[in-house]
Amino acid sequence: MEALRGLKSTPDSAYDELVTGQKSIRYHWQGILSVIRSLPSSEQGGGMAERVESARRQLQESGATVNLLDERGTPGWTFDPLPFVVAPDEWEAIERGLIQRATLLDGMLADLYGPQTLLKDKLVPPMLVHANRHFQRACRVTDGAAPARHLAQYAVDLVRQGDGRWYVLADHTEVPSGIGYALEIRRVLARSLPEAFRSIPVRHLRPFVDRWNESLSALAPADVTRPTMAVLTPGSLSSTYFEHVYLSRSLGVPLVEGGDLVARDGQVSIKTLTGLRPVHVLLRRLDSAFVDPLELRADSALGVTGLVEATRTARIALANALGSGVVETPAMMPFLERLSQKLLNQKLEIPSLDVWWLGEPSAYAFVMANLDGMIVRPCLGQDREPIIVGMLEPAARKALEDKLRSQPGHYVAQYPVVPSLSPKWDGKGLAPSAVVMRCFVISEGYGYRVLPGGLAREPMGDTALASLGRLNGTLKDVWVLTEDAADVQLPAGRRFHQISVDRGGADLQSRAADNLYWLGRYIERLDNDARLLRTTVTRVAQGAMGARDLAEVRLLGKLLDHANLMDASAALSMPESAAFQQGLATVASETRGLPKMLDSIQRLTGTLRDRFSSDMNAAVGPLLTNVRQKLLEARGNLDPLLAALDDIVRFVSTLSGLAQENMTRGTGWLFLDLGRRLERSQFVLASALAPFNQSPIDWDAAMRIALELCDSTITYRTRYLGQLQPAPVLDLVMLDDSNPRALAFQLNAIHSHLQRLGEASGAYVPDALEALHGDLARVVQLFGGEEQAWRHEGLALAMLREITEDTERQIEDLSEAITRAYFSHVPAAQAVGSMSGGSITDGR
Amino acid sequence: MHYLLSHRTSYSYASTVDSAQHIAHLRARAFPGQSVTSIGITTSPEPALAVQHVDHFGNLIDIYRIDTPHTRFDIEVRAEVEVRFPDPPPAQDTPPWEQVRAALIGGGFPTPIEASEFVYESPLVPIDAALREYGAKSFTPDRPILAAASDLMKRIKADFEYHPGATDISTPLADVFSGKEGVCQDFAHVMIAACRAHGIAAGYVSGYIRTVHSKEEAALRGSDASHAWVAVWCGDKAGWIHLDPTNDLIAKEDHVAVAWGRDFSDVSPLRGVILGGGSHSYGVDVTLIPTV
Repeated sequence: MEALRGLKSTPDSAYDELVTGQKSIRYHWQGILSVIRSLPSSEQGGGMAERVESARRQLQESGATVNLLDERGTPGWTFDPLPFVVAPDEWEAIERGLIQRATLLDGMLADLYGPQTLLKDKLVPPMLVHANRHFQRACRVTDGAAPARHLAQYAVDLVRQGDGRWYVLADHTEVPSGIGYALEIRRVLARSLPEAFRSIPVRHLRPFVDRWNESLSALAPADVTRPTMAVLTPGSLSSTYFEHVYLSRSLGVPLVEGGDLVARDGQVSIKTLTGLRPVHVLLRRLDSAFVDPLELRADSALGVTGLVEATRTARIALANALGSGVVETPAMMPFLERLSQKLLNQKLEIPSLDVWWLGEPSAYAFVMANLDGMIVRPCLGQDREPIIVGMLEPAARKALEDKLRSQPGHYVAQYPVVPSLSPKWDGKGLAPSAVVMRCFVISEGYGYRVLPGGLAREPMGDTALASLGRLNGTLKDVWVLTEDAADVQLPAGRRFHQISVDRGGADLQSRAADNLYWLGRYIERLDNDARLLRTTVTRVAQGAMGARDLAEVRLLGKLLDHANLMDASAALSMPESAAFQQGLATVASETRGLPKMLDSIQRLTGTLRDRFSSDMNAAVGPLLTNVRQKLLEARGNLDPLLAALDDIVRFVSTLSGLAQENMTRGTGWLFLDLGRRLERSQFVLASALAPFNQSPIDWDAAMRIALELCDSTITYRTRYLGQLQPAPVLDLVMLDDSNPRALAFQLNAIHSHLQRLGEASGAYVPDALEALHGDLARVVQLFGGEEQAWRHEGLALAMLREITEDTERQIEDLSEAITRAYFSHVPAAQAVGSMSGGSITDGR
Repeated sequence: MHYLLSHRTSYSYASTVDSAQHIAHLRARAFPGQSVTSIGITTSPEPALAVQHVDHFGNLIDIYRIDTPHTRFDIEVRAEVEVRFPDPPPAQDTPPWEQVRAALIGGGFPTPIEASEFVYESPLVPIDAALREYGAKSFTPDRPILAAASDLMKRIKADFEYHPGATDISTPLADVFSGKEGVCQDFAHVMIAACRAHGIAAGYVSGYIRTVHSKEEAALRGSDASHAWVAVWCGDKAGWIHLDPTNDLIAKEDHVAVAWGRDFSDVSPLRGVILGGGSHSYGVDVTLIPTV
């Protein structure tokens, strides 16, 4: 590891951002330093440590730090409250340089996906295109329409070297991530260090985002007057999903996955409850290769069949255009200066770091002669770690040299980067740390615009190259100072297209409706399971059970078996037996229903993150993790299990409260609630009422269980002073539509939800359950009959059994009808392909 | 030689396909030595959308969308093609393969660019040490490139067993190589890999080969098959020469080319994405009738 030390940023050669050679603080840093100096010390409260803590908590709650995981599953980044400050005149130069570079890269893309004269004129080595995994041949325009813009969003990593100049470390053109994190870090910092923004003229980011919306819509086909836009994401498993949600919110456009879209006759549309709604611009956060299983990677389940063909007819614009990653290879860097001269007739304003592409004989000779101190990277789209040559064992070194000799064109080499040093907060005070600055550029009209800010990063590890392209390490805000007061004002109202008032909800994506419906069902199922278990555990955990308890637990065992929460052998054994108790203790193990249900809920809330308010998202994540952990830890012990079950019930009511108070009663809420009502109806039928189906001897126990499972014990006691009789009990859990846990309440809600969904979407699902009310009432009446003859009881029982079974069946049918009507469950797409050759075997 | 060609592909599905999109590399294009007099494609059911494009390699592609629910999809190409691939120069007159390779590397700026694209690895043709070693026995020092390539072709024909059903398109090339058996596309991929391992440009050509020699014999319809072979870049003067390692033949008049690319994945005759359908099976029926 000694060799590694040699590569560490050596402070002597690194540029100091804060202090000049004469040991005085640079002017543009003085503002933030004096703000920090004026903060109270930590003992007084309101000091720096407290601010940092609050900022980190906010980032956790907003989910910014949740998804961005490294290989070990720990959050890949931490937040530093010290911004990176850029002086106004310096920023002007950076801005100019980045606009120039974006223009250049866009021009290169237009040529490489068109006539390819750059290859013929020997300006770009053909291998960098033809052997580059980012080059999408299907997107080469030979006869269709060329995208007006290839590069509509661009991110670039800059480092300042010891000579005080900025250099480009990396270009990101395929899916340029980071801007969402930059915006979020600014929001959080502004909340935790507000005094700084009052006294220091920092340029605002909001106007940039507002204009981004306009510049994106300018990419739409010319004849579309009110273009629809969307953010295309690979989904909630993406490491930067937070950013996709954030951008869709900031830009005020829907977040879509491939499955939400359909491409037909060149028109791409979003599938909604009411049908197809055309979309004209997609902010693409999905790698090109996965965008279309027909013409690109056939194994992609994330894409839209026919999207490539749609781009050829120019009815849809992708930002960035497909295949835009081909120019981000570091192997392009040595050629950019000449390309700039030829394409723009300009010198590059911001140079790239020195990079040697080994495909060139002179570069190859140089690198092989100086290999010891260099870093080698594959450069044709393989995502592999850079190799620090000095750290290699002799055998590995030899293997590397062999590879470089046999496939030189696949590699670039460069010297370790020594980033400049800027102050960070190390918990007690300021300390110098290496800094790489990521800037963001978007297309605007015929030009480009640079975000007046960015994301500064202290790279993890010992070389800035090792963590290239990843958003890990320590992230911080970038402050661009201004001398022009107008820059810190929000702009005067911009022009909006006239939007007609719409409370609709018909635009809800079918996939989102589907997920909401199932989220509703799972939440309710979780609640039901927890209540059922709680009812059982309470009785068992108290130790010696009386006859009454034993009778009840025997019935509950049957329900636990039916609900698949316990193995039948354990659930149906004697309540006092070891088998029963052990079975009960294992309900919290990973493979069982409860943890699985929590996982499903976590997955669904993840995919629905863009549908919920920030408060909801902030609350659900930590609660869920907490509950799950408690549940797993409780394994084997009834007391902690009971506590965990209480937590689950409370978690569900928190979630219900949030949904109740924070969601508009649009179609989304209707699906969520519909799921819950259907699930609860099933619970009342299958759990609360099932014990009655036993012989009348068990009715006493059955009544107590029914009341407890339906959370109606108190109400009953108030109404009937504790005297248990079947008819009033059944009335309370079946017929009383003022009881939110009674069956009738669910059926009424289902009826009204279906009606409203029909009105909103135009697709009506008939409510077959409505006709059941009369039957339910008759059953209860029978139980209340004066004569308690066996014959009579038998009749009541038979009718109850019949009506519960009938209702359960109808609920299942209704769920299927809802699925058919709203979720457009098209069968899964599959690829078919024929074989060439003399043998005809079955296709894949 | 003048040919009448008919190539029919039929998919049968276990259950109804609600909609389908297909992309076809079935429309034979012109090559040096080959011209297409007439060509037409019909499908059943009728497509809701049919468009044609020229792809990156200059091939003609057809894209279809079918909205009619169906349990069977038929697509048929009928074409008249005139083929007479130019006679290859005497092998000893072609340049040493190292010289061709040097131009294709060209210090990062190869000539010609069109050929250099076929030097690199491609999705179905990774290059490994075993294939490089196999090729090295043919690419001996200073050997004229056509002599080396012809020797490689002859060795593949001799070393590999033609065994339909032994492989399918998902069989990795390394397995084909170690198993020493396969069909024409495997033979072609092996030869391409061995060439590229030596810096020689080699492309995958899909097409047909004639198995009958007169109109009378043509009574045996459907006995022909789609075929694949290799185009090797033999230097500026000789250009691309079409070598068929399945039959140890240099293409003259018996081969009809449809499209070419880096490997099968660039020119897959017909692939698609369907909604519904369940399991599927398909049949291919090729008839290539010489008319002169």
